[in-house]
Amino acid sequence: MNVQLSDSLLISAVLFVLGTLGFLTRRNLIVMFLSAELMLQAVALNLIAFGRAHGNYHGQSFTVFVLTVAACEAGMALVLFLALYQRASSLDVSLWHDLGETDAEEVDPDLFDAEGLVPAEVVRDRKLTPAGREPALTRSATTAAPAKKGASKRG
Amino acid sequence: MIPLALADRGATISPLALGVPILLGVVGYLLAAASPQRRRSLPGLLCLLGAVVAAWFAWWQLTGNLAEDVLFTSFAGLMGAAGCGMQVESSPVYSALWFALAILATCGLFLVQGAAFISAATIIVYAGAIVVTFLFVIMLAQQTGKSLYDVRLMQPMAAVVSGGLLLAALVFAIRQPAPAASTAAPPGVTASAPTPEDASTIAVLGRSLFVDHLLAVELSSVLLLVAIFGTLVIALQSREPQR
Repeated sequence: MNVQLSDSLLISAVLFVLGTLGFLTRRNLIVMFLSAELMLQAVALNLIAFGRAHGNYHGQSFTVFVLTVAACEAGMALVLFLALYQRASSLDVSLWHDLGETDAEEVDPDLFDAEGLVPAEVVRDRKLTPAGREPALTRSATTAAPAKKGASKRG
Repeated sequence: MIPLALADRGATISPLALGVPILLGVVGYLLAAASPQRRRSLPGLLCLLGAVVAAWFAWWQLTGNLAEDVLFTSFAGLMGAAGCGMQVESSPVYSALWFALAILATCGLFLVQGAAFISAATIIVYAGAIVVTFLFVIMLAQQTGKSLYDVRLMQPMAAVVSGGLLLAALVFAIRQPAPAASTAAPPGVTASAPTPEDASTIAVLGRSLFVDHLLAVELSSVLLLVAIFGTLVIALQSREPQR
């Protein structure tokens, strides 16, 4: 049993670079996710090698946490892939390049009010899918309508 | 007790021994994976094989003895080959299979380094994750055969150049002779390095987890709970437009 610390570091450097390469070049969401997992595994290898070199168990404890985070990440990533696939019927990551709405013009800084908010008319002609709860500032008749309908149903 | 210096074998790496495997790997990857039609080209695979052999030769020159730990070197070679196969393969199903092989090889490396529990836990966690991922691949990706976004890579030249530079810098930094001050053992080091023969590994690891890292254990349990709820919320939200 004569494995040295630097051997493990070299091996995990190779693994990390392979994962980076896949993450940078692949366009399939699932393969990108697997490449990120490969990078996490390289880090875990480093942690165990350092823990062994120091003669304590902190490295292995950290690896347990890496595993935990990897499990959380896998669940979130797969459900996000499912949601994206239902919208675009494809796993191509380059379909989502324009999530930032690159063609939208900058908001004029003079339009911000004292609280740093923008009037609703300025934000309204953005094309992004609304997500989450709509803030009170831009609430208007269109969002009030479903509430009324619910009230009439109840009555 | 393992010395803490990084360049513990006392040899410095020559630019030739560092450059040849990386260059061969870069050329082989570009030939084998980044061609527009993504056909498996024999010269590319030969270059990749040559890169692995050159890396082993460089390692042998540095360490002096290739077979000093047969298990470690074979697991390491298996892991490198599986990682290369994963990146060269264009079909996501075969990529996932190569990924599983790479994970198994790293579990073997964990085992060699005395982390038996981590090795088993990794296999259990990733077995579930891999099976679910396979389900996803079969459900989502394999309906219309090999698609264009699997075949075409995104900026392979830039990625492979930056990856090669990163690998060269990492290897060079790891093989750098360490400063003299860091060769002495730090004050808090206990002399009980985990070994594969150590039967009390799990007990000591559990004590380390629940004594030294108790808060982090609790936090990670909260993280798991939040991830479960987040997954549920996203899954239910994405179903709503279809109702």
